[in-house]
Amino acid sequence: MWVYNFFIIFGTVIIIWSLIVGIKNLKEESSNIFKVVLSFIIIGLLISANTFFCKFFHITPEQTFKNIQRSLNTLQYLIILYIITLLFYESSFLKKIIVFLVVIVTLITIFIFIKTLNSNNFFYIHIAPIIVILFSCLLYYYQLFKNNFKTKLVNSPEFWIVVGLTFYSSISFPVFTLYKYINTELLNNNNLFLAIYSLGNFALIILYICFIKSFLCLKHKSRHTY
Amino acid sequence: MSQTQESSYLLIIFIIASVLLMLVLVTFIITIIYKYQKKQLAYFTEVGQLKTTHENELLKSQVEMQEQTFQNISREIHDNIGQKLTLAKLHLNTLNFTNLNVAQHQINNSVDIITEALNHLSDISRSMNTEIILNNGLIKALEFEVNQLQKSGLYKVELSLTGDPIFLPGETELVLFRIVQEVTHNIIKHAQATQIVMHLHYTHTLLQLHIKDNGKGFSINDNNFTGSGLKNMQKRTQLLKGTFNINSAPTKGTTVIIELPLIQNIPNV
Repeated sequence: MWVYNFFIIFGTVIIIWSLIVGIKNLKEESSNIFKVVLSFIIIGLLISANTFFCKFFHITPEQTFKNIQRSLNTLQYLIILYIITLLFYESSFLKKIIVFLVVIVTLITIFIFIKTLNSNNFFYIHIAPIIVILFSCLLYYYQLFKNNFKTKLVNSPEFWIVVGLTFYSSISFPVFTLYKYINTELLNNNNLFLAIYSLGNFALIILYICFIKSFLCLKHKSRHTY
Repeated sequence: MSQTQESSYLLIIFIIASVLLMLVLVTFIITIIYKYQKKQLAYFTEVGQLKTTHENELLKSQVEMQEQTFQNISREIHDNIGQKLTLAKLHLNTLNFTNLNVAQHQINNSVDIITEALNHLSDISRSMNTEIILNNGLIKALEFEVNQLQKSGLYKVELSLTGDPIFLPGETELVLFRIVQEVTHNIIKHAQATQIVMHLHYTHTLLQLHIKDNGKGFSINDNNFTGSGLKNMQKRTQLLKGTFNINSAPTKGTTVIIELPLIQNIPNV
């Protein structure tokens, strides 16, 4: 249980930190992608607050907590899907593929969200977006090696966003695909259940850390491009 | 196996699997960064080499242009100014002081010839002076060149301009102007033309320069006419990332078309 609680508290600290760094480094002229990332962080903070109110302060009832959680999670996925469409600005062909996939997955996600209202099968909502995010990240790396090499990679804000998404989608994918098994077979093994669930939160923490790095790179972006 | 043991066993497997997954991901990202930086280094080395080659070619071309300029000056001094001064010297050497009126006339003639030679010298100096071209820009330099040709009284010369003129880097304008000078020099030397038309056309992406004469023209396939002079002009235009084309046929005159992409020749675009 302590692992689960630790990740909730540590994760919230990281989200607040990323929000502060984001607000501090976001400029008027910054690309839209970073403004969207900032809105993702704000929703992340709301998810954390919801968890705190239910799990630690016991203010929110369990069902209300779940409904708020799934609504905010769905919104976060839609934001991530929008972020990945903004990443492919150099190749119109790749952008078309990504936009097509994103539109389909967005429809699937909204459909699952409506279909699973008031049920416990909400985990299905994670699978399709995570696959598309993972696929998009791989396409981004492909695009990176196809284009010219003018960008200094370790100082590229977009690159760190993709690194965060790669970690998040790669770690979350097994967690959510095995969720049904975890939920049924390991229900009596509470420690293992929470440890596996915490892995998803750990993936989110890495994502937010990468967002922090991305915002820090934004500060000196003009200095680091050739 | 008890339930607690089984639980611990599964937990250990899970932790190991998670750690392995993390290691794979971290290795993947590090590999991407490493490979990218390696390719970036190769890319910049290649760009550096290309830049050096281009600079060397430009330098070579500048030396060639300088050499040609010297030849032009030498020819002008020998053919024109030298002859005028010789004539003036002849007048002065044969001064007849017994008849003051004739002497006065000879002196006046000599003064006129020397003044003409000095004016010519001044024109050559201005025409060859790089600073004048760099400071006043291509259009002014072309106007000066046209003026010079008209002064000779042998040609009817027109210069027209369409589009919004864009100032190119000094070096580019200088190379382009020297090409134009070589084209006009070729017209004077070989074309037997009476009319020369120059037209500059600026678009957002391109500068087009047409130089047309009504001379005797030549066959493009004739090797006697496609010597090193034309190749040099072609090479210089290529150095500016442009194209150099000639349309000509016997008795049909000649048109030279030079096209320069503006984006690559304007700094910081």
